Amino acid sequence: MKKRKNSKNRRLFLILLIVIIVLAVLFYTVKKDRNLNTFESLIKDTIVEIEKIIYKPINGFNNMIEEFTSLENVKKENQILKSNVEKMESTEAENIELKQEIERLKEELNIEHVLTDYDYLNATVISRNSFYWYNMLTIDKGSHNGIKEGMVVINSTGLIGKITNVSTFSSDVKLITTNDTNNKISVTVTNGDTKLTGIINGYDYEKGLLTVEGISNTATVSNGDYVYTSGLGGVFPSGILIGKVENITTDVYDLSKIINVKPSAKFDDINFVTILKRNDAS
Amino acid sequence: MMVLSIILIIFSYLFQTIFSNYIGYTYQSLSWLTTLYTIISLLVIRPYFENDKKYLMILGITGFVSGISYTNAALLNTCLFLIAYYFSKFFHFYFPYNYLTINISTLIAIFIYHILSFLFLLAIGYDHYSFKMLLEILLHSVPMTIIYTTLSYFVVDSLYHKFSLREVK
Repeated sequence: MKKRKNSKNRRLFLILLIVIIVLAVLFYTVKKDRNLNTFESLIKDTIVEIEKIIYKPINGFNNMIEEFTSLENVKKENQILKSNVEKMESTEAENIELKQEIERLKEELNIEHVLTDYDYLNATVISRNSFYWYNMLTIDKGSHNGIKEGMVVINSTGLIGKITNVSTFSSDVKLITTNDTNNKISVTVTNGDTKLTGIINGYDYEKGLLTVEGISNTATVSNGDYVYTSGLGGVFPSGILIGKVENITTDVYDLSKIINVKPSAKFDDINFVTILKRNDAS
Repeated sequence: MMVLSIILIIFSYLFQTIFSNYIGYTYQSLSWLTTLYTIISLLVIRPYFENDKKYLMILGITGFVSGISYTNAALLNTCLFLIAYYFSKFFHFYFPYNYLTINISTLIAIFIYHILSFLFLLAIGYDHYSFKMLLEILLHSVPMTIIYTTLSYFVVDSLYHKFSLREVK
């Protein structure tokens, strides 16, 4: 009787041990910032390459339609471009002066990186995470193109996110709308005259608004003020547009403002992105 | 039948990937056209497999590949695929395969997948979304699950009978 009980206990212990090991392995595989191993990376790259081939005719067709619809504005755009070319020389001279000024201001404000320190690399979005696990995109550029983890991703409308996982020919982009404790971004709220610094502390999926906190209740912020990256923290360079202030409330203690920001980027309609690569000179 | 099954899985996988670029697949904009096409294809081909081992191998590979592609957690994704399948298998233990029951079992499998992944993400505290959001994801996946299941079941069943294909043994 005692023997049977011992054997039952041993079996139970064994099952429990297996369950714990399996859970530990599973938790490890979803560990934050885990890099793919060579085998996983190879499979992912193969899939992305196949998807790129399939995308080519689809994207070509889309571009053709877009080009056709934009033909109407060609004449007007041509005139604008001609006048812009005439202004080029004076703009160049102005740029040299501005660069020097930026360097001086960076030192004064203790900002590590600004947009001029970066090279731009364009990439195409291959897929979104259709399993709803993370708020993530996969792009067609990887370590082969010089992409590294933590690089900043933008598009023509503003900040999109940062690179999380990198394989040889593809990478994942974690969107700024991800509610993750590692995803806090230092921002500047400005109306032209005043500049206030706060932190993006979350995203309301239902309202589609980012939440900025850490700005004193006595500070003046108005609806429509622009929100940019501040450059503090060293991850995101300063001056990238994030969005506009939509509405303002205060925290429970009435001490600081909670600012809801409408992102300038449309996260459900991203087909092309630009990655900011630190240039060697900087 | 094996070739047809593999074609359907690859087509569904690519369809899901390409589709994700044109409709709302992010939390910000859930679309009524979103569902897990890969899981649907796996369940639609199930009645044509007599050999359980071969079917589980295909299911495992699909789960692993889509896990690497979308979640970077292939092992967990494969486990979720397996659990979702076993729930559907349990359902078909009582109900034979037909247009109605296959729709119910794909819905069960997709719901199970979303609920389990939600609980797991909640447990590790990684970019979790609200319970209300989970309900929205489940609700939004219903119409396209029914449409795609019915369509693919019809196509597979028609081809199976038309070309007198053999079940996978």
